[in-house]
Amino acid sequence: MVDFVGKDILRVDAFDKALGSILYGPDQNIEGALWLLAKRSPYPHARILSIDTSQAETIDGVVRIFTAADIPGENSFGIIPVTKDQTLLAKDKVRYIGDAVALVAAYDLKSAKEAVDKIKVNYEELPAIYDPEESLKKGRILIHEKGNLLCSSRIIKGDIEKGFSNADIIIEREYRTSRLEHLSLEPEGGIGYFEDGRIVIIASTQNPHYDRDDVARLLGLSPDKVRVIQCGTGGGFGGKLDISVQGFIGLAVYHLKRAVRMVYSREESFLTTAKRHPLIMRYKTGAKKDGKLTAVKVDIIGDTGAYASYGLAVIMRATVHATGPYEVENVYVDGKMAYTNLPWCGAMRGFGVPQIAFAHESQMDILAHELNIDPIDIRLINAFKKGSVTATGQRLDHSVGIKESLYKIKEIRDKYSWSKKKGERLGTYIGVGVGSMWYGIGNTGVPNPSTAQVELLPDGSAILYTGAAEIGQGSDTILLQIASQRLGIAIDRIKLVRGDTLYTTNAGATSASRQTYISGNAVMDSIDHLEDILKAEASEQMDLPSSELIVKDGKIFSIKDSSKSIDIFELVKICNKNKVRVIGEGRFDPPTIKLDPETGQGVPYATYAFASQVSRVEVDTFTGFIKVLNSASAHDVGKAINPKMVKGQITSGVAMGIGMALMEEFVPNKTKSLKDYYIPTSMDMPEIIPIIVEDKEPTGPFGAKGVGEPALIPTAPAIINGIYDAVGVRITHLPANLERVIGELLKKEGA
Amino acid sequence: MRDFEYIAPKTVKETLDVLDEYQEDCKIIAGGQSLLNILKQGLMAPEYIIDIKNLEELNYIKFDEKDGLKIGATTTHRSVEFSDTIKEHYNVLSEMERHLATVQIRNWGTIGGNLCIADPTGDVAPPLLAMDATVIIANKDGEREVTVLDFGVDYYETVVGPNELLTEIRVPVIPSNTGIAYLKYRIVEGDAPIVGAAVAFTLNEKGACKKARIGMGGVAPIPIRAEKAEKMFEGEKITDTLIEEAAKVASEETTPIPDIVASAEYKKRVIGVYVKRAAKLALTRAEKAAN
Amino acid sequence: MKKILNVTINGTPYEIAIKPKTTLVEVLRNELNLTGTKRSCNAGGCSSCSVLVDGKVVNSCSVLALQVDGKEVTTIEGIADGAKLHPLQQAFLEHGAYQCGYCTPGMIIAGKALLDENPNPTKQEVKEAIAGNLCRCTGYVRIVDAILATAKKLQEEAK
Repeated sequence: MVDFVGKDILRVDAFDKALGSILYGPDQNIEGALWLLAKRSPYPHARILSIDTSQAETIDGVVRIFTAADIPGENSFGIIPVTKDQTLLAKDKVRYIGDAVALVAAYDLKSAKEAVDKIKVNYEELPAIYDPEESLKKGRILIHEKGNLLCSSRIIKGDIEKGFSNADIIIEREYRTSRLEHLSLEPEGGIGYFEDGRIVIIASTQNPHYDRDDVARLLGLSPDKVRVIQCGTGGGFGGKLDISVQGFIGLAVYHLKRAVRMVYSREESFLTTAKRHPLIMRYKTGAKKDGKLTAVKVDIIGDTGAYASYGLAVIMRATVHATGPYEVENVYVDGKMAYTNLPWCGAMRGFGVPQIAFAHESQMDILAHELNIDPIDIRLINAFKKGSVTATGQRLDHSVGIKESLYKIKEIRDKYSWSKKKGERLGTYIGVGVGSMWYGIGNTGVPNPSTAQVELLPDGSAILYTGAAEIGQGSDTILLQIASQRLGIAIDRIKLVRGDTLYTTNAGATSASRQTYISGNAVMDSIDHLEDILKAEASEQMDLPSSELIVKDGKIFSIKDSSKSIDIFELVKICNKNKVRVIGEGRFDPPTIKLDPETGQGVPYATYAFASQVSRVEVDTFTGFIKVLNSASAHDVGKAINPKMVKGQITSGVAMGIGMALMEEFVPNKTKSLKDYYIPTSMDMPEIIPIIVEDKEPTGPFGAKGVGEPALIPTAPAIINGIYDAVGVRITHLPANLERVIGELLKKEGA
Repeated sequence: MRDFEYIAPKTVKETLDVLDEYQEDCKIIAGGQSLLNILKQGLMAPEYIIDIKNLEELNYIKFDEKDGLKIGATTTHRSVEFSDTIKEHYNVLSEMERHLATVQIRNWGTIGGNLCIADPTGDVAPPLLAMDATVIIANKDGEREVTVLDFGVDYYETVVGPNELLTEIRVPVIPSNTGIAYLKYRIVEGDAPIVGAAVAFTLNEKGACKKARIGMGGVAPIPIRAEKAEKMFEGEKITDTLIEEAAKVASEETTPIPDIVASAEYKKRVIGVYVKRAAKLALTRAEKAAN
Repeated sequence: MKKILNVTINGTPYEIAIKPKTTLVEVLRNELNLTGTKRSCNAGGCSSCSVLVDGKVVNSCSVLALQVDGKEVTTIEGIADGAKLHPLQQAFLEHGAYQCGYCTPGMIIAGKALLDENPNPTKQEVKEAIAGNLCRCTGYVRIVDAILATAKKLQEEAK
C-alpha cells in the first residue's frame, strides 16, 4: 500500500491557488449586495452622549443605519466564554480609537462613506490610560466596570527563596516587547445573505463555529439559525480568530434579510483588529556555577488594550512557559493582564510564548556568557528529558525532543564554523545566537475538543467532514493525508467538506498549533468508529461475531479464517441500499488537568513541541542595521505528516521572527497603514536550514504534534543573542530596531 | 478619492494650454505612483487631472558630448535604469534606479514625477544634485531652466507654478577624472530611504580634489547639498581623515524631520555615515577614472 | 462624466465606461470580476495586485485605469494556457511556494515579468525582482526557488 503520511503530497489547494481562482473574503460577491461600513470612534476613551443618524439617513443610496439599539441579543462578544467584553456597536462608551459606534448599509461604498461622515456622535471625553502598570494603580479611571485587571495567572513550584540561596549566580533583567500586527495579506472580508430561514455568512476566518455561536448570541438566535462558511482565507496568524466583519454582516442580514458585503481596507484592518500583546517581563534567574538552574522568578505584566479577546490565554501561556524548556526546581511566576485604551490585543502566532521565549532565552544567554559555558551546552545541561517535571508539576513521559534539537543545531553551527565570525570588517561584526523553545499544543488546561466525520460512498470514495479552518497552514492536506493513510484510500478519492457549520461539526479554532494533533486525532477516531459500523454490518453479512473481524486492505477479514472476507465497499452498498449512511463520527479532546488557580499546578497540555535555532547575524555598528545571514532551526514535531510543508512552516516562522526581532512595532495612533509598518521582504531572508526532529508522540496521529507557532518562536531570541555575540550589547526591548541598537551601542561606547 | 474631470492632452503644447486654463484647479498626473496615494487619502482633491503619462513627446533619453544628458519628464524609472546611454555616461543614475522603490513602481513611475512630488526622501534628487543637474520648466509662453538645488521649496513643494510643466532633466557632461556614488539607507528593500547621500569628486591632474558635490536626501524638508563639507575637499588631497571630518560637517548641515522610523538625531548620525561611505566609493571611482 | 476605456485584457478587447478616478485593479475586480488580482494595501506597498501592462509588471492599485487605454493587460487569469499551467505556476505547485495563496498571483506575475526580461537570472536578481511583493506566510525561500527552477527549465527547453 502507498504511504500518504510522511510524504511530500501535493497540497490539495495547489491548483486553485496557482491559478488565482480561489475566492477569499474580499472576492465574495453577490449581485446587488449592499455595502457595509462602520462608523468608528476618534477617541480612545469617551462616553457616548448621543448618536444622530438622521442626516446620514437622507443620503441617496443609504438603506439603513444601525446602532447598539438594533442589536437584538447580547451586545458583547469575545472568544473566551468568561471574558466576552467587546461590543459590536458601542452603547455607552468607546474604549479605543476605532471602536465601532454605528454601521451603515448602502447600495455603494461611496454613499456608505458619505453617511459615515454625516453620522453625528456626541462624546464626552474621558481620561485615557496607555500604560498597563498605570492602569492597575488604585484610583485610576475604570475602562471596564469590573476593573482594569483582566486576569492573573500564577505558577508556584518548590521554594523560590531556597532556590536563590542555593544559586552561585543570579541574573535580574527586565524585558519588553511591542504591539505587533498580523498583517495577513488578505484583509478581512465576507458576504452574508438570508436563506432557508437562516443567516448565512461566508467569510475569511480561523474559527467558523465560534463565529456562528457569537454571531447567534449577538442576534439572540439559536446557533442553528446562523450558518458560517469559511471561504478562502489569506493568512490568519491569530488575527482572524476574533470576529470582525462577521458580526456586522450578521446584524445587517438579520434586519434587512438581503445580501450584504463588507471588506476592511488595510487601514481599517490596522486600526480595528487584534494585535500581539506587549509584555513587560521581569526575570530573576538563579544558577549554579556549572550552569544548572536553581530558581526562576518572573513577574509579567501584559497590556491587552481595550478588550479581553485572548488576553487570558496569553497570560496563562506566558506564565506556564516562563521557565523555557528547562528543568527548574523552584519557580515562581506571576502574570497580570491589564486593560488600557489602546488597540486591543488577541491571539498572534504563539500566544505570549514568542514574548516570553525572548526573555527566558536572553536570560540563558546571559548565564552562558557569565559562566563561560557554550550557549548550546548550558541549554543541554538544563533541557527537559523524558521524566522531567515542568513548573506546573507535569511529568513529561514521551516526545521530548529538545535535546535532539540542540544537538542538531550544534552540528550545523560547528560544521560551518559559524562561531569563527568569518567576514567581519571594520564597523561590521558577526555573531551567532541560540534560541530554544517549548510550546504546549492546544488550549491551556481547558477542554478543547475537535470533532470530524468520515463517510464511505459506494463508488469506493470517501468524504471527510471537518470544521477545521484552512488558513494557508495546510490543514486540508494534512487531515486528508491522515484520513487517507488510516483508511487506505488514495488521497484523490477522498472529498473534503470543510468549514461549513451546516455540514461540518466543531473542530475548534485553527490556533494553538492544534489542528494536526487534535483534529488529526478526531479524524483517526472517526475512522475507528467507521470501522465499528462496518464490522457490525459485516458481522451480520458474514454471520461472525464483530470481535472476530479485522479491517485490512479494504476488506473485512475473519481473524480465524482469512479466506472469509468481504469488501468494505460492498458493505457500503448494502448499507446504502438499506438507507443507512456509513459515516463514522470522531472526537478528540487532549487529556489535560485544569491548573490550580493558586499554584498553577496541573497538566496544561497533553503534549509539547520543542525547537532550537541558531542564527548568524551581522551588525553594522555605524547605523545599527542588522542582517541575518544564516539560520538553522531544528523542530521536534513528533512526526512530520508532510515534511515539505513542515519545512515550509519553519522558513515561514523565521521570516516572521525576523520581523518581530528587528523591525515590527505597531505604534498606536502612528501606525496607520503599511507604510508605517515594516515586514521582512525577500531581501531580508537569510539562508535557512530547516531540520525536522521526530520524537514520536504516542497520543498523536501517527506520532504527530504541531509546528505552526513553534516555527516562529526561537527566531527572535536567536537573533538577539547573536547581536550580543557580535557587539556585546544586549537588546531587552523588542524590536531591536535601528534606534535601539544604536542607543545601546552608544551607551557601551560611553561606558 | 474624489471624482475629477480627466484630460489627456496629446502634445506638450496642448498640455500647457490646458494648464493655463485650469491653473490651481488642476493637477498633473504622470505615473501617479505617489499622487494616487495622496488623492486616495483625500489630501488633495483637484477638479481636473491632466494626464501626461502617455505623452510620448517627453519620453526620451538623449546625450551629446557638448550638452550632456537630457531626460524627458515622462521617461520611466525603468527606462533610465536600463538605458545604455545612461549606463555608459551616468552609471550612478542607473545604480540609483535599480534600487528605487520596487520593480512595479519603476515600471510605471516617471523620473519627472518623482522630482515634482518633492518627497524629501526621493532617490532621484541627491545624485542629480551631485552632478549639478537642472530642469526645464515650461509654460504657455516659454520655458526656464532651474537648478535641481533651487527646484525644491518646501516639504512636497517645488517652484513649478500652477500653469507650468516640468519637461526635461538636464545633466551636464561629467568632467574627466570624476567618480560619483549614491548610497542610501533603508529598513527594507522597496521602501523609501531614511537618508540618501550622493557624492561626486572630480580630481585634478595631481590627484587632489578639483570639485566636490554632496547631495543629500531625507535630512531636510527638501533635498539639499552639503556645501560646507564640499568646500573642505576642494584643492585638498582626499584622505580618510578628511572624509571623516567632512562627513561630520555634512551631518551638521542637515535639519531632519523626525518620523515613525527614526528620530532627527538618528538621521543626523546616519547621514554622516552615508556621506562617508558614498565619499569613499566616489573617491575609488574617481581614482579609477583618473588612471 | 464617465469615460470610455479601450483595453485588451488577457487577449480579449474590452470597451468599458468608467469614472476617471477608477484604478486598474478596480476595473479588473469590480467591472470584469477578475478577482485573481488581489487587493491588499491599495497603496503600492505590497504588490499583491501585480499585473502586466504591455509586458511590464505594475501595481494595478496604483495605475489609473484610463492610462492603460489602448494597452494590453495580463492578469493571473491569463497566464495559464487553457487547462495547462504556465511553467511558473507548475513550479509554484511543485516547490510548495505558497501557503495562504493571497500573494501568489502577484508573485507569479512578478516572476513572469522577470523571466520574460531576464531568462537567466541570478538568485539575487530574483530576490530583487520580488522585493516589492510581500508574503507573510512562506518566508520567500521557496518562491525564489520556484522562479529559479522555472528559469532553468525554460532555458533547457529552449535548447
